[in-house]
Amino acid sequence: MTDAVGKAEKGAPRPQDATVLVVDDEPDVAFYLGSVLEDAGLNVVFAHDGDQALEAIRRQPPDLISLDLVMPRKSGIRVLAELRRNPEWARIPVVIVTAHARDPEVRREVSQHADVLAGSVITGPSMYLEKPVTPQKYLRGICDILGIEVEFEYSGVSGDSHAELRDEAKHLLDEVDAATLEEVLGRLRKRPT
Amino acid sequence: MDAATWREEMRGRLIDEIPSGVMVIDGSLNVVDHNRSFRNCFGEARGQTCYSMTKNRDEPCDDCHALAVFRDGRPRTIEQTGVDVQGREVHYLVNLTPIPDGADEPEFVAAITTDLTAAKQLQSEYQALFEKVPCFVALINRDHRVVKGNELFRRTFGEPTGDQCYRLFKRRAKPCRDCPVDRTFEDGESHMSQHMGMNREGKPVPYLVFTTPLSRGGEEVSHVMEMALDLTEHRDLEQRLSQANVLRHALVENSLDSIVVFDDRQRIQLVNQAAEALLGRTRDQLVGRRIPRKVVPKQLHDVLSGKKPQAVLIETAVTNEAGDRIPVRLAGFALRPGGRFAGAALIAQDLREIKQLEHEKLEAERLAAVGQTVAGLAHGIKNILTGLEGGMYVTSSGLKKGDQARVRQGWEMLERNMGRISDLTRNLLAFSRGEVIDCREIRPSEVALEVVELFREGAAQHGVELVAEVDEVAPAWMDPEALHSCLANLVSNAIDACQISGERGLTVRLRLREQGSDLLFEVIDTGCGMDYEIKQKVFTSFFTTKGRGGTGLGLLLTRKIAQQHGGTVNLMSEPGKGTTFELRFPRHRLPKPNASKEIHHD
Repeated sequence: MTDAVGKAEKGAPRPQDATVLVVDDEPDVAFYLGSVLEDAGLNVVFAHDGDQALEAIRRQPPDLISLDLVMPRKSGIRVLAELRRNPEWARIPVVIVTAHARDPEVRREVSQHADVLAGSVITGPSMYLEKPVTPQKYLRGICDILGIEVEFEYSGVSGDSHAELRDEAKHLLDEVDAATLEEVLGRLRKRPT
Repeated sequence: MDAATWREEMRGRLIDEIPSGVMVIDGSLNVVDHNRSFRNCFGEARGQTCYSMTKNRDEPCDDCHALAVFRDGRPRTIEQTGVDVQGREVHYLVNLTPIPDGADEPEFVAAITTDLTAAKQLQSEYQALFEKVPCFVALINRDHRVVKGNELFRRTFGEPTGDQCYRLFKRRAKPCRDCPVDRTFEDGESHMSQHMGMNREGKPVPYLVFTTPLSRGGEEVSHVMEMALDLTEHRDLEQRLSQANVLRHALVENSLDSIVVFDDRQRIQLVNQAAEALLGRTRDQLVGRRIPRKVVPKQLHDVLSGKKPQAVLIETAVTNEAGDRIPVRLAGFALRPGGRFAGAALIAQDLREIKQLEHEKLEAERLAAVGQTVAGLAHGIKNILTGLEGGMYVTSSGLKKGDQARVRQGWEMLERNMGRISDLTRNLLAFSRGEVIDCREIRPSEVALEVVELFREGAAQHGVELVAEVDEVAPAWMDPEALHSCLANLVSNAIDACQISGERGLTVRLRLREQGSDLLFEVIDTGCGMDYEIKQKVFTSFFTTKGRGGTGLGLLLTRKIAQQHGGTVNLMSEPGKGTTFELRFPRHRLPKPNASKEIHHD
C-alpha cells in the first residue's frame, strides 16, 4: 500500500493499492469525502479528530492524508506539525480540506509552526482544497498526487446549472470584502426592530 | 468747755483725721507732735528723732531739708523714701513748713507727708508697659524729635538720640506730608494712619500709627505719644490669604465639575461656571436663593441640612432650568469649620459626554460583533454547502448503483444540512433581532437556578453532575430571557465539553456571586478544555467544534447579550483540565431603568 507511489515507475498505480486517511470532525463531511474515494476504488480509513488521526497513522501510515484544520482536541495544523517532525511520516502527502483557509487565525497558526514545516523535506501541505469541495475536484486532486488515473462519471444532480450555482455561491462568499460588509452592517442597523 | 478750748480740741481732732501724715519737729529734729495718720505709718514718735522714725537711721540725713528750713525759714516740697513701722519701703512727698516763734525764727518745722507708694507702683507699671508693649511707642516733641522710645522701637529703628521721627521711622530727610503727629499738635486730638517705615536693616516695615496728645499741666500740647503697630506679619498673612483666595477662586471657578456651596440654611453661597452651565442659570439668579428641592436627588437633602456628613451618588441626575434630567456623578459633604455646621457643598460631574462615549463604545462593540458574525457567516455556509454537496453525491451514487441504503444515507445528509441551514437562519435572526433588550428588575439568582434545573436531568443522563453555587445577590436591572439564554448556552457548552472528554465523574458548576460591585456568573467544567487555537476562535466566527451539532453562534449570542448589559465574557481554559467561562456585569454599567430604551434604540 505504501508503495503505491513507488510503483509509478512501472506504470500507473491502481486505486485499490492506495489508502487514504480522511480526517474530519464532521461525520457527514468525512462520509462524503470517503465515499468519493471509495467509489473510485481507493481504500479509506477514517479519523474524527487530531488524536485519532495520529493514532491511525501510527498503526499504519497511509499513502495520503486528507486533513481538516479545525477540530476538537488536536487541530489539523498540529497534526501536520507532528507529521513533519517525524522523518518516517514527513513524506506522506497531505491535502488540507477546510472552510477556514482564508481565516487569518489559521494563517497565523500556520506561521507559528513555520519553523517545523520549513525544516522538513516536504514543506507544508501538498494541496489546499477549500470547502465546499466538489467530488471531481477532490478526487482529481488526490489522484494527481498519488499518480492514479481514474475515470470520474459523476456530474452532479442537475448537471451544469448546479455547478454554476455552486461556483457563483463560492465566488460570492470568497469576495466578501470590507465594503460589502459595511453595506450589510448598514442594513442591519436600519432594520426596524 | 469755753469756746477757745473747744476750738483747740476741734483743731487737734481735725489734724488727726486728715489722710496725710503730719509731724512737728524742733530744731534738734526731735518729734514734738504728730497726727494719727503719721502714727499709722511710722508708729508713736513723740520724743524720738525724725530720722530714726522715718528712715530708721541713727543720725540725721546728709541733705536734711528740715534743717535747711530752720536755716532759711522757706517752705519746700521734696520726694523722700523712708521705712514704715513694718520695715517696708515707703515713698512720700513731704511738705516742710516753718512754724515761726514770733521773732521770725522758726522754732518748729511742720512736715506734712503724702504717701506716694501706690503712685510709684503705678509709675513703674506704666514704665514696664511702655517698654514691653508689643508696638512701637515714641514720645515726640514739637520739633519732631523723638524724646523717648520703648524697647521695640529702639530694637527696630535704633536708639533715639534726639533725631527726628521721620529720620528714625522712615530714614527720610524731611517730615512726611501726612504727619499724624503734626495734626495732633494742631487740634489736640488723636489720629490714626498707616505708614511704611524702614527698619535699621533697611527692610520696609508697614505699621499702623496712633497718636495721643500729652500736655504738662498747661493747655498747650507739649508732646505727642505715637504708638505704632507692626503690620509685617499681618501683611504677610494677608498676602498669603489673598493668594490662597485667588488660587481657590481660580480652582473653583475653572473646575470642569460643577461646584455649589450652601450656607447653613441651604441658601446658595457660591456657584462656579460649570454649575451655571449645568443648571442653566446665572449666579445672579442663584446666589442667596434656596435650590428647588426637586433639582437635587433626595439622598442629598440630609447632607444639605447637616443631618448627614456626606453622600456620594455614583450615577444620578439633576434637573436643570429647562426641566431636563442631566446624568451626573454627585458628591455632597457638610462643611463644619470648627465642628459647627456651616453649610454644605455639592460637586457634580456632568456625565453626558461620558454617557455618550459609553453609548458609542457599546455601539461600536456591538457593530464589531455583528461584523465578525457576518464575516463568519461565510464559513458557516461553506461547511453546510460541503454537507449538501456530500448529500447530493452520496444520493446520486446510491441511485446509480441501485443501492437503497446509500440513497437513504445521502438523503439523510441532505436533510441534516438543510436542518442546519434553518438552525443557522433562526439563530441569525435571533442574533440580529435582539437589538433591544427588555429589562426589568430581576433576581439574578432565580434565573441561574432555573437554568440549572433545566439542564440537571440531561446532564445526569450523560454522567455529568450539574452543581449550583448561587449566592442570593441583590436584584439587578436586566433582561431575564436574554440572561437565561446566555447561561443556558454556557452550561450546555460545558456539558458538551464533558461529553467530548469522555471521562466519568465530571462536573459542571454554575456559580453566582457579587465581586466588588460586579455581578459575576461563572460556568466551570472539568471537561476537555481548549487548545490555544480554539480559545482564540471561540468568539470570532461561526466556529464550532461540535461537528453537525452546533452552528457556532451560541457564544457570539452570549457575548452580544453580555455587551448589551454592559458586561463581558471571559474564558480560562486548559486542555484536559476544563474550562471556566466568566460572565461579568459591572453594576454601574447595567442598563438604567429610565434609559434602557434610548441606549439601544437611537
